[in-house]
Formats: sequence, C-alpha cells, structure tokens
Amino acid sequence: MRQLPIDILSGLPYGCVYGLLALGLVMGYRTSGVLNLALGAQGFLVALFFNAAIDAGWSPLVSFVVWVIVFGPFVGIALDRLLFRHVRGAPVVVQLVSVLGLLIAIPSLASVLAGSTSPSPHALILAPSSVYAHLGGYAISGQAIVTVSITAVVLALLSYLMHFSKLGLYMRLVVESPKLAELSGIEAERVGALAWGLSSLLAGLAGVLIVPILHQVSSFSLTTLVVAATAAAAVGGLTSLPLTMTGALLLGITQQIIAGFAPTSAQWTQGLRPSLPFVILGLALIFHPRLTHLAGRSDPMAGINPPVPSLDVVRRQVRKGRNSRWVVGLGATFAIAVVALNVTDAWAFYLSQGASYACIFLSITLLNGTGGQISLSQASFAGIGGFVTAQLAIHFALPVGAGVFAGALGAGIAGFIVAIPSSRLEGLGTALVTLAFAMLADSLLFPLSWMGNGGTGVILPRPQFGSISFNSSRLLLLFVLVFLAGLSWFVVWIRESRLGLEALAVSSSRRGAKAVGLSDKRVSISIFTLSAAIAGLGGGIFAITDQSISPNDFNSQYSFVFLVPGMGLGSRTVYGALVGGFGYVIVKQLLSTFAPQSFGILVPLVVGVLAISWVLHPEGIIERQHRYMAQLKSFFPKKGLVAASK
Amino acid sequence: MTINSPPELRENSSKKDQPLLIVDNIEASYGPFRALFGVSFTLNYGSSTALLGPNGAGKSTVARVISGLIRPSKGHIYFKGDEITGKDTWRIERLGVAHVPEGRGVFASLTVEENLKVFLSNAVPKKLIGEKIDEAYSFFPRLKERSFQKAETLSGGEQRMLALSRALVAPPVLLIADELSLGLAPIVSQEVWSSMDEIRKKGTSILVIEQNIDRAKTFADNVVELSRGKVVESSST
Repeated sequence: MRQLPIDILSGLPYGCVYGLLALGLVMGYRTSGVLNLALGAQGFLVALFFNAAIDAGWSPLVSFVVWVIVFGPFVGIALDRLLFRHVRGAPVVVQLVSVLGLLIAIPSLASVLAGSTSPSPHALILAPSSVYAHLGGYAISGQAIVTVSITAVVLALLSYLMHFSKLGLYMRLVVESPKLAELSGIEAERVGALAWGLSSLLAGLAGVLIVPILHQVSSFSLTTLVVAATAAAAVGGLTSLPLTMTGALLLGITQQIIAGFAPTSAQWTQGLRPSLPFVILGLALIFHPRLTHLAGRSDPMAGINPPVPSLDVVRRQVRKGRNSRWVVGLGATFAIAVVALNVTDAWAFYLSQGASYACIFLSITLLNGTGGQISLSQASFAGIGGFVTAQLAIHFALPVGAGVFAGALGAGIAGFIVAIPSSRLEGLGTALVTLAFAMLADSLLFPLSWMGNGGTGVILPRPQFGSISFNSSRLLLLFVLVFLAGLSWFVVWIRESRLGLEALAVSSSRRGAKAVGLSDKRVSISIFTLSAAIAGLGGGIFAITDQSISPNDFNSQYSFVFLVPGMGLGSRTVYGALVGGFGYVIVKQLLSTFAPQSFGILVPLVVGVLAISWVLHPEGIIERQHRYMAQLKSFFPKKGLVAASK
Repeated sequence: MTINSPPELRENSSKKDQPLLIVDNIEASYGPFRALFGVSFTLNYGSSTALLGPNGAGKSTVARVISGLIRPSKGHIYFKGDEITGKDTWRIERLGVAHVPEGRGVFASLTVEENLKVFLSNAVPKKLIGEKIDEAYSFFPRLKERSFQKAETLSGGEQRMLALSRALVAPPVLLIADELSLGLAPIVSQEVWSSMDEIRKKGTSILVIEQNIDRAKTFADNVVELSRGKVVESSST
C-alpha cells in the first residue's frame, strides 16, 4: 500500500496533459459542435516547432511565446477560417471526415516544413528530471511542478471565461445556432475563431508539456493522446469543464496505479494500461445520459442551409433496370479477364491488394451509403478477418479459401458486439464507440498470441482449390476480381432489398421509421454487422494476397485513412468504393516507383485535401464528375429529343 | 431612463413618409432550388406591411434575405438609405433590424433570463439591462414565473412572447416577424398580436409574414402578396 500515494502523485502530470487536451476538445465542441480529433496533431505541430527552435539556439521562453502563445492560436484560427466554420451544423460524418483529414495531413505537413529529423525534447522552465522536493516517498520533478502549475492556472482562467464572461455566453449561443446568434447581433464567426484559437493554444501547451515526459517528439503519441483526452471529455459529457478535468486526472492516476500493481508477465495486463482510456470512453458513451442523446438538440435555423445533394446515382441504377445491369456485368467480366491475364506479376499483386482495400471501401458504402452510419473501426474488422483466416489456416489446417469466410464471420461477430451499444447512440456517439473499439483492438486484441501472434503477425499460404494452386499472382488476381465483382453485386442487392430500404428510412429519420413500425435498432445492427463482415472479407483477401498479416497492416490509423477516400470519392456508390480501393494502391505504387522518395510524404497531404474537398461536395468526387458530365451532355441535345419537341 | 421608441425614429420623425426599407428585384436560391424571382416592394418609416401567400411562396425567404441570413443572387436591399445587400446578419441587426424567425426564435439551452440578457446586450447600455428585463416581465408575467427555466421547456406561445419581449423593451427600427401565430391556440395568438400592437405604438416599422390573411390585413397598413417567388399584388389596407 506504500506504493499507492506515489502512483497517485506520479499520475497527476499525465492527468494534467490529458486535461489540457480534453479542455481544448470541449472548447471546440461547445462552440462549433465539431469534436476535433486532430487536436493532438495540432499539439504535435506546436511541440515540433518549439523543440526545433530550441535546437536551433532559441531560448525556451522566446520559443514558448512565439510557438505556443502566438503560433498555436494562429493555427486554430486559420483552421477555423479554412475548415471548421464551413462544417458547423453539417452532418457528423462531414465533420468527422474533415478532422480526420487534418489528423492525417498535419503531421505530414509538419515533416515537410521541419524536415524528417525529430528534434530533441526540451523542457520549458525547470529541468524535467531534477528533483525539487519530496512528498511522502514521491520525488517531485521539475516537469511535474511545471505541468501541474500551468494546468491549474489554465483551468482557473477557463472556468472564469466560460461561466462569468460575455464571451463564454456567446460561445454557448454559437454552438446552439450560429444564425440565431447572428440575429441577436453576435458576430458568430469571430466568436468561433476565438474558441478555436483558445482550443489550439491548449493543444500546443499539452504538446510542449508532454514531450519531456515521453522523452520524444512523436506525432503518433500525440494523436493517440487525443483519444485518451476524448475519454476525459466524455466523462464531462463534452460540455462540463470541471468534470472533464476530473475525468482526466482520474484517468492519469488510474493508469499509473494499474502500471504499479498489475503483473507485467501476462500479455493482456501489458495492454491494460494503454487500453484504459478507450474502455472509459466506451463506458461513458453507453452510460452517460448526456452522451446517449448527442444528436438530440438541433439548430432551429438549420433549414436555411442548402440541402445535401440528392442520391442521383441510386436513382440512375434503378432506372437502368436488369438489362443494362447484364451489359455492365458482362463488360466488367471481360475487363477483369483482360486485366488479370495481361499485367505483370508485380502489378497483379498490387491490384489484388487493391481489391482487398476495395472490399473494405465496399463495407463503408454499405454502412454509410445505405445505413447512414459511421464507423472508425473498419480497419480493425478487416484485421480480425485477416487474423482469423491466417490462424485457422496455420493451427487448424482449414483451407485458406474457407478461412476467408470464417474470418468474415469472426469480423461479423465483432461487429455485432460493437453494434449493440452503438445502436443506442447516433452520429458522433456511434463514431466514438467504434473509435474506442479500434483503439482497444490495437492495444489489447491484436497483440494477443492467438490473434496477432504477440504483435509479430502471422504467415499463411496461398489458397489451393483441388489441383488449382493460386501461387501465381495473376491467377490469384483473377480469382480476387471475380470475388470482388460478386461482393459488389451483393452490396447493390442489399441496398435494393427490404433491409436496404428500411436502412435508408432509418438513416433519413429514426423517429419517422419508428412511427411506421420499423425497429431502428434491428436495422442498424444488421447493417453494421454485415458491413463488419464485408470488411473482414477484405482483411482475409489482404492476408492471402500478402501471405502474411500483422497488427500494423490494419491499425486504427488505417480506419481513418480508409474513411477519408471512402467518403471523399463517394460512399453512396459501389463505383466509388472500387475506384477508392484500386486508386489507393495504384497512386501509392506510382509514387514510390516514379517519384522521389520524399514525395511519399505527400500521400497523407493528398488524403487531407480530399477530406477537405469532401466538405464542399458531400456527394463525393465520383458523383460530382457524373453531374459535370451530365451538364456537359445537356449542351448537346439528342437528335431524337429535338425532333420530338418539334 | 427608458427607451420608448427607436432612436432612429425619434431623430427622423420627418421621415415618416419616406421608405425605410427598399427591396429591389431580389432573386434568391437554396442550393439548386430557386425561391425568389425578382421580388420588389418598399416599407415606410413607422408603417407595417404584411407579406402574404401560400406555403412555398417565398415569404420567409424574403425575410431571410433582408436580415442577411441568405445572400441574394440578384437585386438590392436598402435600409435607411444605405445598401445592406449581402451584409453580415449581425451587422444588419446592429443597424436596427430585429428578425424573429419562424418557429423557435430563442436559445433553447439558455434560461429565459439569459435569453433576455442576450437579446438586450447589443440593444441597450449594460447598466439598463436589469431594468429592461423587469420591463419585459411586466409585459409577460408568465415569463417571470419561468425566468430560471430553460427556454426549451416553454410552450410555443411563451417562446414567441420571449422572442417578442426584446422588441417591446428595446424597440428596433424594423421588426420582421415570421409566422408568429402559427400553431398557437387562439387565446395565445391574441396575446401575441396584442404585443405586436404595443411594439407598433412605440414607432417600430413592422414587416409581418402571415398565412392568416384576415388577421394580417387587420394589422398591417400595406399588403404584399407573393406566389411562387413572385409579387402578384401590392395594396394598401
């Protein structure tokens, strides 16, 4: 028991850093309704420049003023001008994709600007490891003093601002309805920009304070940290600053207690400490009364915004009917055969990988395009599918082809388990539950020996059907493409089935669907489970193509990466999913083959730009092009129609 | 010190017959859907005009274009002689245009008293806010009973009273009232229209948007009738 007070005190600095980020999240959310998951990336950007400047000979204080006090808020205000103000009041999926685009693009942009060498970690004032006092058995370090003191001052100032100042009141109004606030004479955009500047300042502070504790300037640590901060913000119902800070401190302290008491020998206990924030996030979402109704209050002036473009693609497909589908199907089969038999072995391999990604994008098409749901764990379901396929082949000698379907079943079961709590939530709540699951899969599930082989991954053979072996990449490509064509047909079939129609009804209006006797939960769970199973199929195909699978192939970051092109190209069309899957590997390979190595860093930037472009065109790039073509065609009317009109 | 009429009107009592608001050939759209096709009309200082028409005629869109919520694709709007076309909503509000939108025109998450503070924060000096809130309560005693209740818990009629109370205690130059009596019980509707009379007596010009033709004609000096985004008739009552 002597250890307990020391664990509590040593957990405080971690809790304070979580708290600063969580307060930044809450500030942004309260003002704009956008949960800025890219806040950790903003913190990383500030921390990177702060430490690089000290490396270059600046004094820590000057670097702090320039990068944290001036540059930090500037980043927030600039992002507000470029992005956040345009997504205020937009559907949750639009908001999430835009912040995920930033999450992916900012670290890449930072590397371009600051160079690939990571700067040394520096402290702000006191030497981080020097001991300045003792409390019980706990040696109080310089970093602990600085972190706790700065957090206390920030918390006091923020509490005053939010509860007693005019600006605090205006911030509350702007989140409820920016247009109504403007009708009351409040400059909503300026209030929003100030809140984002403040939020970014807090992120920069957290970034600068955590670097000496982690002993490195790492974008991955800071982006993961923001999920822990989200758990703390969830404890505060995404609104209460004191409860958010309490949640953050308890989180930091509990993590240290677990680290001190849990045995280090077992695999699962090693993953317990990093998993704790995600468990808390999941539990808060399920049981916190305010979070279960996140979509409850809507902007009374929302009807003024232009409507989201209609699903022209869906209508076109219905109009085309069966005959044209046969033509398209036969044409696609011919194209598949030509491509599969004529590409080099290397490209056959890359295209097979593309097909596996296309399966994962198809799972997004079904989930979002038909079901109107959003998931940040599609890569985790793909990982489960891949690992189950591989483990069954290695340990139970199950044929790999059958293993792919067993993997899909495994992913479907995982999807079903996640869908049960998420079906009680809407929009952002669902997204956060899936985010918690993805993080848990990273830290707890994939490192298990019977899943990801202790984190080292699993090697498996190529499939064999009777005497036909798929060791040739071209033959495998042919098989995979035919499989993908079948899966595409299945997704279209689901969309036009009774379940698809019910899902469209539920996604349009849950209340309306309930009023006509539909069970919204049954429909949501069914679509989510099917979507997870399809992602699992994608993971299985990836595993048999690559002949190996490791946790890094499908970590949580990939869920973000998949979601951005999945939505940006057009989540409502099968065509968009196919272009997304194949485009992803083709662009990647072309860049790595023909472009200088440093160009590889631009891929995340492209993903970020894609995310931002989607905010402007939520119907997706593919559908947008269809409309441009339709406009172009309208300049050249068909002769028959002209004759008829005459 | 109490403010009984809009300062603008007290300074410009000679302007009574001049147009306060000129809406000139306005066109506006919601994304690809065009809602207004060249709407024009004027509203004089101290007068009241009713915008009439069936659902989808474009009445609320005209109100939104005037208050800056929607930018028109064509045409001009002049307020007190200055062009306000495309200006930010908050700037137009600070010029003296109060727009009470259709439906819930109050902040649901704030209490009644906080709503009043927000409405008055830009309209009267800070030291007068408490006095003005008491004045609003004297007009609508029901609001006083609910002063610490969140606005979302008020009935539809009480929410309209709360939205109008601002115009009662700090009269704007122009009040745009969109479908104030929609969905209200007759007795509550009567109370809301009475408060509109009070606001008019204080000298505020009023643009009222209404589906109840008889009620609107009784109240307004002029009538502008819209159909499918176009003005089909303008007349005095």
